[in-house]
Amino acid sequence: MTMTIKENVKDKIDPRAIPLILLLTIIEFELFTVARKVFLIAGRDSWLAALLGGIFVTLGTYFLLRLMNRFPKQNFLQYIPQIWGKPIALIIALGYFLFWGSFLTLLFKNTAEVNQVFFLEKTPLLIPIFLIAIGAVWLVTYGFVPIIRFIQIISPVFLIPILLAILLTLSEIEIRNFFPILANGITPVLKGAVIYAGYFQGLEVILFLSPFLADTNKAFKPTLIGIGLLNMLAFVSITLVIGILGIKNTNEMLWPAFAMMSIIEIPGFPAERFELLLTVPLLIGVFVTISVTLYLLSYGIIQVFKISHKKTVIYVMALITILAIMLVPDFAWYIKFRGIHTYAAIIFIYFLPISTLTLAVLRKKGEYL
Amino acid sequence: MESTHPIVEVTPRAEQQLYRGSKQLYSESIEENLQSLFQRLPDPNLVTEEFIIGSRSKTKVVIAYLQDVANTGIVDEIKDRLNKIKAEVILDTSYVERNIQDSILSPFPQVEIVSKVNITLTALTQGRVAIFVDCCPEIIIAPTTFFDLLDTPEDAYRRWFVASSFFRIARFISFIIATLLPSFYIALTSFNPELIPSMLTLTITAAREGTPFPIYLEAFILMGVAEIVRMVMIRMPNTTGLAISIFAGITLVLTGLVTNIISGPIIIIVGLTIIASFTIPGFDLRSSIRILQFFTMLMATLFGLFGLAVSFFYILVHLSTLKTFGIPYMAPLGPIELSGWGHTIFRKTSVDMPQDETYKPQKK
Repeated sequence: MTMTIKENVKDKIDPRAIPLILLLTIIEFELFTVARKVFLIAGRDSWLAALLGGIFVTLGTYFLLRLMNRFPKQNFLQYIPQIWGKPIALIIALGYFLFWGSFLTLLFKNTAEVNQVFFLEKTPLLIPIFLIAIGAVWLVTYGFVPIIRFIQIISPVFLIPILLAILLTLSEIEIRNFFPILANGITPVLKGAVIYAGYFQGLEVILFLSPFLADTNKAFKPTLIGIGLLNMLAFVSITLVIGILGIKNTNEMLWPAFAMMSIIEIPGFPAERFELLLTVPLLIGVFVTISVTLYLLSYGIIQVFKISHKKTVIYVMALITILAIMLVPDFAWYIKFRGIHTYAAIIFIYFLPISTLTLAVLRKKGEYL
Repeated sequence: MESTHPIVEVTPRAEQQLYRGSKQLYSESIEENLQSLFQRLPDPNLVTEEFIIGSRSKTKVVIAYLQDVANTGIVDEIKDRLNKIKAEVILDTSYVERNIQDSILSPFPQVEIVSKVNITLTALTQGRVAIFVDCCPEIIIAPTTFFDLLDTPEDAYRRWFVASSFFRIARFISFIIATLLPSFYIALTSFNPELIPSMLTLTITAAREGTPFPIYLEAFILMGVAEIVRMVMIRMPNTTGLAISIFAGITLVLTGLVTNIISGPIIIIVGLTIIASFTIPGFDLRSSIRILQFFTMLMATLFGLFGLAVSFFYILVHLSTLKTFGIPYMAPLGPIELSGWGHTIFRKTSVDMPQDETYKPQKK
């Protein structure tokens, strides 16, 4: 019997790739350059907030996985009408589209700002944004599996500089910068932990993975390992920034992680400026996050509204989110909006999926009854 | 097919220097080529199927594969694509290649062109398909991933697997150098000199004192000159071409340096790039890399380090979306298949030739 190549060579994602997917999807400017708002709220106890926030994130991930496992052949937007009913499901879907769209605009805005600070001072903002967007649109038009392949291929270029940066800075930590512990009580730490959990925008990608996974039952362990690694990375970078710069300096800086890299000196080593080590993974993290978010937004719209012109939707969504940058007047406004978005993330990453899971269990929907 | 004494002549065609392994090359007769294949692999599972392609030339094309190893989906796809070829004349394997590959616009070759019998045997045992074209001394191996193209026979023949793995990784690094080094130099020196160690910045500035051209123009001119010299080397008869290219290269560089038209550092960069590009085994891939070099240089000239990063993303986006007969082009790195790393990214130690699962029938 003749078999087509599609029947014989299956394009599925090995669940073992999930840690890399999560690492590169979730890490972008805020988490990467170390969550500023966590520092502002929790101060020198930010490392405690990260530890506690890590527990929240892991718990949230566990519930997302439970939800994914109930509907192994569908994504979140496909099964919510069964659980919430069609009208509410549509409202939820529109909420997600707004969330992803605004997130994309923030990411594009940040790309432009970072580019102006580190690379091209005088180039008009829209040029770097379009350059990044062309690559992202190109990748997204091929669907989700090529995005995952891109993540896997680029992961060494992403991880090696970060690990090197951590190794180079470890010896510079000053323990006294962490004392006194809990000087302002536990409340700032708790608030910081909640904000920290909100920075994990992109975690919702778990809910869209199942149709592409070779075996959804094997997704639990790698996902939790991925979240563990991500938490560890965030905890280490927060600890490093406070330990090296001290909380006072950290709060005054726009890019504390880069400031931290600039103080490294290795006697006898030919390189002096180590910021370059961080700019490479930063750009990779941002590009991947933009691609995944654009995928979620465009394919979500295509799926909910049953649109057949896939490429057109992707182009239009990219264009709208780029043009929406004009609505962001300045960087101060951006920081404010980003703060609000982080709170919104808590609703979209944790609250809505967990509510959906609860309702699915109550209404006996899904496979694991 | 009957097995008789070898009748395939061993003609010295110096495309790659081989220190170990069989030097037996294919001839221009398809019958002789198939005969030598059956002689080396007398396996009842070795199957051949014949096609007549070309409405005028009626060229005989034969595919060979191991039916217990090859993926039926891939074999059927190859047969299907061969049947769809509408060409009037098939003059060379390249005529078949351009008609069956997945993307004609891609700079990356999606099939491997092979002239040695032993390489064909390895490919067949991996589950790949060999395509013989009459009157051609090379055959096509399909599917072919990126890592197959960076593979050399010595990697498998070398005694110590650590050395093989080391040289393989060195080849990957050379590939990156060949693609990105001139653009990295342009980006750093023209846009972000603050990221270069101060001693090196001073050295570069001192060396460039009095040179009339900006760095990017120097790089483009010198890369262009290097391409001309390389083309002379290929086009002219062996000894003459070599002598002319060496003479031209040395004269141009020395005169450029003495008259202060070009600076020393760019010569180091271009030299290193050209040398690195010659470590890439396949001719087609090597040619593509040269074009990609100019693309990354252009992006770095226009947008500095950011442009370089973006061009790198573009190349990787293309590589992640490219497939070769249903197999992802960057397998086993994207998607990660650790079982395949033993004979692609590294060479593992084993008594048998290391194998992977990339082309095998997949579990349902």
